[in-house]
Amino acid sequence: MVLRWLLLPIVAMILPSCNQLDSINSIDNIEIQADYALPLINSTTTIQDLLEASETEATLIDTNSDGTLTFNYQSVGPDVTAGQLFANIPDFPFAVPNQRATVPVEIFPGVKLETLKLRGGTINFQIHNSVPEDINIQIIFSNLIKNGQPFTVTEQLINQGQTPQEFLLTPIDITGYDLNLDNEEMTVEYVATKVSDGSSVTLDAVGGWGRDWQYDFVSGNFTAKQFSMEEDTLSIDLFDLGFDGALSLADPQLSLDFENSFGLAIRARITKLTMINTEGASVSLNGRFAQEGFLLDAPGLNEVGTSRHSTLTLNKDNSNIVEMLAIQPHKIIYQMSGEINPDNDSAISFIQPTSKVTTSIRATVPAHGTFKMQTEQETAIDFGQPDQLKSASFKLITTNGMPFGAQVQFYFLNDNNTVLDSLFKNQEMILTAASVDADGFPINPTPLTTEIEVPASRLTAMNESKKMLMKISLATSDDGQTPVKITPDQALSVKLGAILSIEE
Amino acid sequence: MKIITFNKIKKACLPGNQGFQKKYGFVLGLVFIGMIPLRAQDIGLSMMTNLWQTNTLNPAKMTDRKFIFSFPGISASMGTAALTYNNITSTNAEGKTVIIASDLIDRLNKKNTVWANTDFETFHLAFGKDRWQVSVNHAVKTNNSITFPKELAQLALQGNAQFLGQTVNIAPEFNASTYSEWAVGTAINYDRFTFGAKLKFLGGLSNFSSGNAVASIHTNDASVYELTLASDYTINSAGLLDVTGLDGDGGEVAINTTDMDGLDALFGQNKGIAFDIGATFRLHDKLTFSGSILDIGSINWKENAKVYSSNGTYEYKGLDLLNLIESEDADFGQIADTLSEIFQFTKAEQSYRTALAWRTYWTVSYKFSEKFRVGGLIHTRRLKGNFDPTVAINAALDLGRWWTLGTNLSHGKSTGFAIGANTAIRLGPVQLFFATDNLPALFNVVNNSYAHARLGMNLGFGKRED
Repeated sequence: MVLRWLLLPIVAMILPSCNQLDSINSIDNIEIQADYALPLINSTTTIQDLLEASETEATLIDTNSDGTLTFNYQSVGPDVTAGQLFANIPDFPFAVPNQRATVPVEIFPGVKLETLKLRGGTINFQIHNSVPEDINIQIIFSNLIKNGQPFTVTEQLINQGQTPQEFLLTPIDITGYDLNLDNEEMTVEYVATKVSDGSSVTLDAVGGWGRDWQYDFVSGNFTAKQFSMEEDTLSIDLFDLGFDGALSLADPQLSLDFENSFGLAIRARITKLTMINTEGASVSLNGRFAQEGFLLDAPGLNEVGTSRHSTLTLNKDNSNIVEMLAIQPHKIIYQMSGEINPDNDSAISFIQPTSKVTTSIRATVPAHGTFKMQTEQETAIDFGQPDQLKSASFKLITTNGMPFGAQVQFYFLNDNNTVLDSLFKNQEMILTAASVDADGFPINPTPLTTEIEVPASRLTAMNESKKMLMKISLATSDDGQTPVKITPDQALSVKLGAILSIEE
Repeated sequence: MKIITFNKIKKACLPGNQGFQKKYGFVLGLVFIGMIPLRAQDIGLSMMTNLWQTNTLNPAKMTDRKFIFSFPGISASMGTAALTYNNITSTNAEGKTVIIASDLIDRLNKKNTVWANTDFETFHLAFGKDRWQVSVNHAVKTNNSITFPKELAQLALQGNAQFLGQTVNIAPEFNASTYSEWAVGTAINYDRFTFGAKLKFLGGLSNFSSGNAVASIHTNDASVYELTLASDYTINSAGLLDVTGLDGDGGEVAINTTDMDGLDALFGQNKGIAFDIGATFRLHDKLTFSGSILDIGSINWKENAKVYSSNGTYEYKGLDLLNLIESEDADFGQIADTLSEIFQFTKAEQSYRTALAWRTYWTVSYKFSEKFRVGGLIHTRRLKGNFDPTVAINAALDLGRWWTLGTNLSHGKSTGFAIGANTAIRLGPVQLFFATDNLPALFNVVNNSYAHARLGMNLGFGKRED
């Protein structure tokens, strides 16, 4: 009983607390107003890093003698072969009406043939004879030589018992013979004797055909002849970032390389060389090379089987290439023609069936010059910011070792392209171009701190925006007036931190 | 077209179980673990001179009975300095009860301890005669405390922007131990002095505690808020508790119970030993002084023992721009991942030792009459990472021979001001008692930061002579 009296007041006291414990469970949330300072980005990036991260089509990125970055775009161009310039040797007849005859040889039109080295073909003989006896005959081509011996055919014509008789000899292979001509003529003679008594006879007719002749080497005097090459295109993606504005490259070059194994004088001409940008604007080459062309080096008679390299380089001194590249082309369309023995020289030249002229084109663009360009790029965005983010303050510190600066502005647009807000009041400089020395190299990295406030109203606009329009302006030192040189080791340090105000 | 999303930046910034807050949120969660069990400071009990249980606070205390048997009793307390439910909660415009972080932080001290202790006393058995007394008792005790710097809460709930250019310590220190205690005690009286001592044999059931506790964060104001994080921090777990997710095993951080059987843990390898010593000095019939030092000892945790360590200095400067550009999914959530990795712990399965939270009681008691006495108390205890003193005064009145009423007024570093009450009733050999060190908390818990209660029953036989 006493225990009950003791416990009752205790229980009475504790019961209200037990009820209060229920209310502790009713806490719905913790209301937080917090400002978190976080480093978001800390990066030092060199030009080399950017290049490695890029997907440029440049075939080679290297540096020139002073370390300036150089972009090379190269492609193999069209070529011209002997087969395109000279037709195959046609079959040709010959006749020896008497025991000795001089036969004119005109195998290649326009070529005063001196030597023809044969690697295939036959001579087919047809003989008519009215002497009703067996005849021994020997036919000699004194200009067709192999191993120092003239081409000689010896046959016995067996009397068939009728007159006149016609004999078709088995075709004779002339592989390995050299046809050495005097005044484009060859001499053919025959000796025919009766088998019975060895007395000499004159046959009705001795003749035949040269068939399927193939050459290893042709020398002679080639008359002037023009030919054209196919049109080709070289793509350049260096300017594909979509920037507009002024660009002046200090010393770009466009090289046309020729590899010539014809033993001929060939003058190459650029019949078309046009640079075209993505907007369709184009500038064509002018200058003396377009009209005059230039003579390709060629192997001499003692250099048969070799080739000679020639390069035609277009630069700021001999062409309008600076003007052409200023339009920031994305492709170069070019076509060339050639002329064999353009001066109608009487010198002896040669060709082989493997002779050809191959071409390649190489655009060399050193990162040396000035530019002041801008671009506008629109991108779909979904900031998807949490509702708890109420405002943000960004601090951007750039230390720019590159000789060009950047200004940016970001506009936030809705679906109707109405500007809801912008990141800055005006376009803001975020990179200051490093000052450069007399050679165009940066002297010291230039630091710049940019504070970016994003109040609640701007966050709302960003959340409502569907697109972001980025305006970016880039300019070399002194607002694009001073030529600068860009090297792979030039670096940009970017540090971005933020104070994010959260309410939850 | 690349779509940039910033949604995951929330992962890095917002409070939750992600990012670098994960680990510390986890540790803060221990607060709630600590609120489950309850155990006492026992300010009032120390002054209930006619109660056997005062012997648990000073082994030199003797009772007036030759033979004492105590039934199972419980003593429990919990508290935190200055924080009460009502002073940290508000009703917002939507009528919901919320905690406003800034209000909560305004009420925090430089160091803040949340503690909760429970003694479940299975039995006491004591026998005394003439000038001596022997006793044996068993209890299962749970000690929980966490001490965290105000800056940790500020960092988690208000962000680090307020600490630009400063290095702030954010390391919490905590201990959650449950162990079984067998105690053998004796007391001897000599003239006006009485000396007592207890030898305690401890068996650890579970432990989850911090060891080295150094963790700081510096936010660089001169640049773009680069973070420098320094840690020399260890977390121990043993016995029935196991922690997953700390050492980057891919899972979320969680405390789990192991498959270990409770009895295995109780009689297993987690052994310890501790001492209580005490003395009383009766200056004259009215004035008595006493002092005791309790729980001098430690437990060596071997069973299922693991030590998680995070040691080093790490600087987080931000993400690499090129990587971000090249990434298909530009994700600032990487920041949270990186910070989380920085605080990654390495696990070692090794034994470790934890000291008990030692306590001292220094009392003075003055008898105005046979039925009315007053006293004073200085109590100290060492909570994890914090020295926690309390001073108190008390008065007790005997109402007849069978009922004693007492009250006490205390002020503790971790408890603030508190008014306690206690009572004991003797019904023949049966003695019932109840004590609380903070009476208002029993019926108004939402306005109090400290609660305590002790309840028990003794059987006493044979009155001893003075």
